[in-house]
Amino acid sequence: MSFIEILSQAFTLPFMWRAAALLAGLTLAAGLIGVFVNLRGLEFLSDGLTHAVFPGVAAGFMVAGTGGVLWGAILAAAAATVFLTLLSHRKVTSDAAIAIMLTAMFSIGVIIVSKSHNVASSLEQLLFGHLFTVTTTEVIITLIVCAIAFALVLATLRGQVFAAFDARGAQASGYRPLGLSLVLNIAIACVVVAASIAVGNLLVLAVIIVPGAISRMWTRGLGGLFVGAIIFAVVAATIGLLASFTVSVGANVAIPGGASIAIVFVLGYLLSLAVRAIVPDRSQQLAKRGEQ
Amino acid sequence: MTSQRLLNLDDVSFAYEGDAALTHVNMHIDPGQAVAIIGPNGAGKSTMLKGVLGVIPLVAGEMTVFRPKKGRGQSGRIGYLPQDDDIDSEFPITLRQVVMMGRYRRLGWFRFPGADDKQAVADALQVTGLTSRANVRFGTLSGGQQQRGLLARALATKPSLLLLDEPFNALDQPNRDALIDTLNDLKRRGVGILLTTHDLELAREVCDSILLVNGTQVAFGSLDEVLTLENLQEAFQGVQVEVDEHQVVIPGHSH
Amino acid sequence: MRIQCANKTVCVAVVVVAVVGTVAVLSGCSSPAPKPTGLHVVATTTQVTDFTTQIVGSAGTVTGIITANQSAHSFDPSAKVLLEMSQADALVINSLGIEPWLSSAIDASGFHGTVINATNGISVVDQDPHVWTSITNAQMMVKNIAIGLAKVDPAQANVFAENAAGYEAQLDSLKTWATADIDQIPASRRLLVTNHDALAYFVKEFGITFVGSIIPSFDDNAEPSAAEIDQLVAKIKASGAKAVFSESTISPKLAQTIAAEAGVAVYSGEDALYADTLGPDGSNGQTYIDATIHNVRVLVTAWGGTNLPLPKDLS
Repeated sequence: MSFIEILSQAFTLPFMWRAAALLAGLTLAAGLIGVFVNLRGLEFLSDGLTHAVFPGVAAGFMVAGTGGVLWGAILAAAAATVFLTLLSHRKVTSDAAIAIMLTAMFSIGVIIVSKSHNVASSLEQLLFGHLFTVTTTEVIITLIVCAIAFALVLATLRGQVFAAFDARGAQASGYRPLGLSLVLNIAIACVVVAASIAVGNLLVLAVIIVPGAISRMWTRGLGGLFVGAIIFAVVAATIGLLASFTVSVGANVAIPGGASIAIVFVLGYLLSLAVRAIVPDRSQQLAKRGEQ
Repeated sequence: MTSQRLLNLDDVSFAYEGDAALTHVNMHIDPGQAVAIIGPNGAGKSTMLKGVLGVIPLVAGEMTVFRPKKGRGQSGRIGYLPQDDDIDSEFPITLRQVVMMGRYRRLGWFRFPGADDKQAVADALQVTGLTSRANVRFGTLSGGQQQRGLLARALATKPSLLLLDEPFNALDQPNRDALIDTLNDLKRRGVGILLTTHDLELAREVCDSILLVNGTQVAFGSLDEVLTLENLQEAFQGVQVEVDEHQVVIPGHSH
Repeated sequence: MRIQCANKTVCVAVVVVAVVGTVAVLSGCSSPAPKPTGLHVVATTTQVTDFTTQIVGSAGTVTGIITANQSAHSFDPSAKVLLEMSQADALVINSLGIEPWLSSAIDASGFHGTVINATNGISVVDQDPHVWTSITNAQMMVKNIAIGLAKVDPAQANVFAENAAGYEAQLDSLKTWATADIDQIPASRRLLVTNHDALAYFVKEFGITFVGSIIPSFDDNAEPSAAEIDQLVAKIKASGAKAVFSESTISPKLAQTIAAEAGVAVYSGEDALYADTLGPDGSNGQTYIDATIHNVRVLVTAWGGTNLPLPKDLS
């Protein structure tokens, strides 16, 4: 089978459409939110959230089977978000708070998993996602969750930008930093939940962190930053999905869709780093020239 | 005539998480007036500004801030110039976008900037002499330009009350003179100004009153009333070196 | 907010890639996949795949989903598997909960053929899905599959019945040989310690005493607690068992630890038992019959017996 033949088969299949729909929602939300994760340095907090979601996923599975996974994830994410946001606005160093939470929640998850023999068999699914076998219900709920995340950040976009640039200035001009942080963290949590279903709990971070980081390397203004991040996320996810399908069908090497996408994201980042190292930043040069 | 005042503080104390940072402040600003907050490092100068902004909670006394319009929030028309070190200078944003932030509260969450917003930004850039740098990334500006950029952001708010944290820092002589002219011009248009500074000479050129603090209020009043040797000695107790380093002129006092 | 690009070339490149990607994706929708001709059957576990292959013979193609030495319990169907399923006329399954991923895979692939349940009518003990380890059950499964395939492709029903009968006869002689081979060992010395509870039906069929398993679950992904390990070591010592048998799909590390603690031998690697899956092509467990012969030989040898020669129709 030639490459084109394989690709032409891809979208005759229901699972590819579901995966594509899910990824479309996920990448749009992840691109937008990833920018703020990058701007505000919330990578570690995002990591904390992914770990916090894990026991929710495990508990949800125990209570209600596969259908409970998403709800368990949402509940755990909501609780963790409120907790982390409040904690990070106290005087406790927020890194320490997140690290404690991260370990605590993940060990709770491991205990839940080891106590239930049924959950054990789904552990891989929880950690690596099940992109190719998502149900229509999961796709719909994931799209709703992503839409909520997208809408939350879009609705508070000005405040988020202001607070990310200059938190005290934003507060001074009347924005509520706690409220803004909470909204942003809820949006991150939404993306973590949605991405857990698609690419798995362990690979969520690639989807959230990479687009913003890459876009940051190549853009100077704000608009380009958002557009760049979203375009990268969409393109990388498309390549990852098609690569997974092509390799699986063409070469009979089973690559989970989620892992394939995560790898494309990371490769994109490495490539971007390499190119950036060779190509000097033109905007910086222009700025220096203007100075003289 | 308290009702016309932009700012009135009656025995106010500000504190952060239980630690009183500045106590017993009695002062006021009328339209067109400028007040300089003077005091040694750690005396609560920035605290005073943040307290007025509502960033640091008021724990005692009564503060009245001029409210421009109903529903817009009391800080809607307060312009604030933070100290430069609070800013993320790597942030990928142009100077024009930073100045536009001064209009965000007026725009609300969804409205796109209109002609008046763009005009306000252009005016603010003009006044601060940064028009030619508008599309440059903020982080690539020099320290002085960044400071003027943030001042432009405060001005774009079209504030009734302007709060400036060390506005003369990082400015060279021409920029200082330009800023003094700008501030005097704003005063003529009825804007109230509250600023912190180490530099008494600059305070003299702009300000009508001085608020002398050292953890608590030492004195408030006209320059001549406040700048007595007694007051200054009380405010700068034990930090003479600091005073000399910043070339604070203490009238009638010799070392 | 104005869109600004630091580097116009980068922007253009990104847009071009996005457009080309979209076009490639959309053009893919227009041409439907060519469907392979002839009967196409997909089977889940390696055992039902082997049974189905024996029955279908040259009358069609059979594709197995689970590959050798891969656990059926935890399995994420690849795109290829889903593609195969979408084109299959029939899907042969073990059911009994050993394929928890199956319903979502059927849903995702849009499989629209007939599902043949190989374990239909087999009496299940303690909800243990590893019914095929009893040869009698395996014969039932072969019958079920043959009946199911006959309904899917009535034109070739005779071929299926003929192939099934021949294979069942082979299974008969396998059972006779295995019974004779194991009966050399006194019942009191037929003691079995395995990695997980996968051989219960085998144990029952041949009068073997099951001492315990390292993973106290039908699922090979669970992990034992410290107390459970201690109990098992005590049980092994008390029973007088001489060996712990690892399974081909599971890492033998834990089995080695426990065997060392109980002071008994470990059979792993080449000598591991085939339980959850058959072995890969070319191994001594590539078919159900080969795997069963291997298991019987390893056990009888470990218990101190000498293997009987194989009957002619099996060698």
